[in-house]
Amino acid sequence: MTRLRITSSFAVVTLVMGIGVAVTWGRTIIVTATVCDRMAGISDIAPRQSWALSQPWPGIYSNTTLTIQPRQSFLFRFDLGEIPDGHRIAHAQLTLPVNTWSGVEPRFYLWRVLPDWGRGACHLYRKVERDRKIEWTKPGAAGISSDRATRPTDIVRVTEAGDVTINVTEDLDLWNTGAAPNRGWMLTVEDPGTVVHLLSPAYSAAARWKLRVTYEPQ
Amino acid sequence: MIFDAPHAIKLRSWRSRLVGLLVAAAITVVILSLRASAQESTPDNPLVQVLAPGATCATISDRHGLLLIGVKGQADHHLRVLSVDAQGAVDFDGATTLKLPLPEALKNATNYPLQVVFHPTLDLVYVWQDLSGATAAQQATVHATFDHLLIYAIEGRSLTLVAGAARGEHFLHGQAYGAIAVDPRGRRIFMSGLPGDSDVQALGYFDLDQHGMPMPVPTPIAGTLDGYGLNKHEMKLIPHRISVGNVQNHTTAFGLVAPSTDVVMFSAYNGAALWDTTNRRAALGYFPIYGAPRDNLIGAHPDLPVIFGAAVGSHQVYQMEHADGYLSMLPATISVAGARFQSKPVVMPGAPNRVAIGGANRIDLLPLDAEGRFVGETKSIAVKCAAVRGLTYSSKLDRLYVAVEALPE
Repeated sequence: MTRLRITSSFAVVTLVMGIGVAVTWGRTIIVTATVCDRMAGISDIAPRQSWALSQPWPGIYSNTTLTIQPRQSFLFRFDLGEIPDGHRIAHAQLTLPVNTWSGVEPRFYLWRVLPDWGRGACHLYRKVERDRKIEWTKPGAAGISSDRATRPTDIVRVTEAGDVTINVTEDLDLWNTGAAPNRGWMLTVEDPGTVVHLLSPAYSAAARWKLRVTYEPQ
Repeated sequence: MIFDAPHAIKLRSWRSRLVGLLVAAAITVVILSLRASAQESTPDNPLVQVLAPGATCATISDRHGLLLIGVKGQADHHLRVLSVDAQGAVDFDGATTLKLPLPEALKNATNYPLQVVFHPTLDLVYVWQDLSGATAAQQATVHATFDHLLIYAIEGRSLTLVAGAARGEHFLHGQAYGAIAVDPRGRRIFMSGLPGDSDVQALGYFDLDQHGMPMPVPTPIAGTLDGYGLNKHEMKLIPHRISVGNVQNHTTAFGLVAPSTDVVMFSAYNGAALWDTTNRRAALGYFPIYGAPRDNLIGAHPDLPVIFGAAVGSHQVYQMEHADGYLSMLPATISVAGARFQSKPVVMPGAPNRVAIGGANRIDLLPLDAEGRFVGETKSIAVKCAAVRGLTYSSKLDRLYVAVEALPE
């Protein structure tokens, strides 16, 4: 009987402590692309357009769907202001809704973007200010280690339609610690003949683009 | 009438009181009128209301001190020409009106102005007019004789017609809205209301010469051959055009914004679009906003690379950035309770920054921050006009001029 009481007390204490630790230490948030503060679809065919996400009709670029293929990429940045100071990233996962694709063993790349970019971002420029246009190191943000990170965050092989998840813990940790500023990511296709279509976060599918982040006190 | 002395003293006293009262009343009236005129320029009420029933458009030139209001339904008074003094007061006594030209063979039809635009540097005004009531049998006459684009020279306070253009089968008529825009360098005039491919709409432009006149373009002459086996050419004033039916197929006239010579932005289904005249492989860029109303009247910020779209007959407004006319970054949208917008958004930069939008019997003033983003609460000002379409702002005078059907009592 005494042993039972001790065991019960221990269980209760453990449960209370567990709850306490969970409440105090770790928290998981899921943000969607509705909190993205920057997006741009860039294409060498429309070198000044910021919304060259897809070409629903010949000669017309739009944001209604997202097509990535060689020389046509997509940049996006989540606002991470919801993560409080003094916490570290325990885990982060990006979810992207892939719709259709074509090509042999199709795959796409996720890169960290390195320089600041914003209004007027396009194939030629990363930013257009009132009196100057700031170019990418290479058109299409193609400069390795200058426009985009030295290595891709991930190379995602597309095998079926639906949500694709990518581990982005390292990127979030870099941004959260201040080791690198959050300039967002870039989706590219590097293999000739490969085309990947995603649901557009700049039109109706913002809620399908998710960033799940677990953080805890440092 | 003879009064004795005490009576005379009383009378003089009564008279002096009366005179005193009259003087006091006059001073009060003057003070009140000054206060009333001063109220027009306060941040709370920057409106100057101008009586112009049937107004379709309005524009002001600070450089010329001229306020022009286009009016529909007034047979001989299509354009009201008003001068504005250095304090922003409108000279109503010196107002004149202009009748837009209508060919004799089309006298049974009714012409009306749809937009008026000043040339950015020259002393010219471009007026876009349309007509209704032409019979089917008169189509050829309309195409042969009716000029949609009228160019007036400004001489002092008067306007003189110097040229007409935009006639023929390249232009639709009977449109309820019309839009023209001249780029900041005055090199090109863009226009709406062109027929597109397979019964959809198109946009067009004329290049302008150094005098602000549309320039003809080489046009092949059918049935002729030159020494190279090509058609011979003649110079004709026909517009460069692009069919935009996939992004807007019932009217392209809800507003044109031309921040550069090469690119023009226009209202498209549920959002905005752009025409890049330098890129034939990607001539159009289209940004529909998910869930937004179909038609939006668009206007531009005069100093910042920002456009605004106000839903026609509805309450939603969007704000979107651009770079040299290329739409960029995500739009912001807000709703204004009770609004039914009728006019293009007119930005009033200054302190505070605001965007004014005319609606049904009211004007909404939406506060903006220094970057042109929505901030704070909307203020509505009641006016007597069922559909406010004539709205223009003077940055020099910091006043918003609005054409109304009746003045406030």
